[in-house]
Amino acid sequence: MARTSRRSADRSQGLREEVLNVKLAELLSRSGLLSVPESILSEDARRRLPDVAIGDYWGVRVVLEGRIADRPNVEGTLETDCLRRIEEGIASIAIAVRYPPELRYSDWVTLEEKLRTVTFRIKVFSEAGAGEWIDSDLEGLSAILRRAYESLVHEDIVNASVEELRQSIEVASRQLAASPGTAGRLRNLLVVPRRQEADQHGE
Amino acid sequence: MASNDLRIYRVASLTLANAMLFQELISQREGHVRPLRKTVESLDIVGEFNRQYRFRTDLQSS
Repeated sequence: MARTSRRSADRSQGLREEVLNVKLAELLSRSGLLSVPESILSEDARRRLPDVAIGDYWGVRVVLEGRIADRPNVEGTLETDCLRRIEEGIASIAIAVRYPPELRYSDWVTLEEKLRTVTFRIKVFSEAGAGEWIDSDLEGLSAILRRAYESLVHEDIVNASVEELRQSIEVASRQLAASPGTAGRLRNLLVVPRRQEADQHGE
Repeated sequence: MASNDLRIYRVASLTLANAMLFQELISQREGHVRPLRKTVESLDIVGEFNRQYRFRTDLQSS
């Protein structure tokens, strides 16, 4: 009954963007591209309609942020929201998807087929930076996501992260050293054996 | 600074960094665990980390 009434509302007011996001995530999940948690795809989630769809691509969190291009400044608001998802650590990759306006009044039964064939405007954001707005269909999204992943795990970024972590550890170590008696307390907490210390002194 | 003390400080710092990475990952699955960004936004950062880690140890022992 609830589903019937919602679909009626869909027909009169058009589909909500959240419906398209969840449906797109479902298609990407079925194609094996994204691992989307059941909490996003379940019947319960369909009723709650989460704002964004979150999936997993080779262990990297991906957010799909979609909006229908039948209102002003859609690309601007998508860019702002995707950047925020990255900055807040919600995901490492955020994909802004601008749906063509005709999807708003798609028939529920043919929505899946339309999502498979329609051309989106897409922009990818990641911790490595942002791409450009490009036109793509569902198949093209696969290549776009792969490129974003590869740029994210590019050696330079991994090396930069390792170096940042190393420097942070050095800074933290110096700050710990500023308080007298810290070494003794940490030695006890970390259960560093006295024997090992003696050996290290002897080296 | 004695080199042995420096080793202990580095191990302690690395342990903290590891705990923070662990917290960030758990926060993606457990709604009760706050992500690092939210934790460091707290006015009482040390107290907030303490609360988060207490919850995690409770989680591990349950």
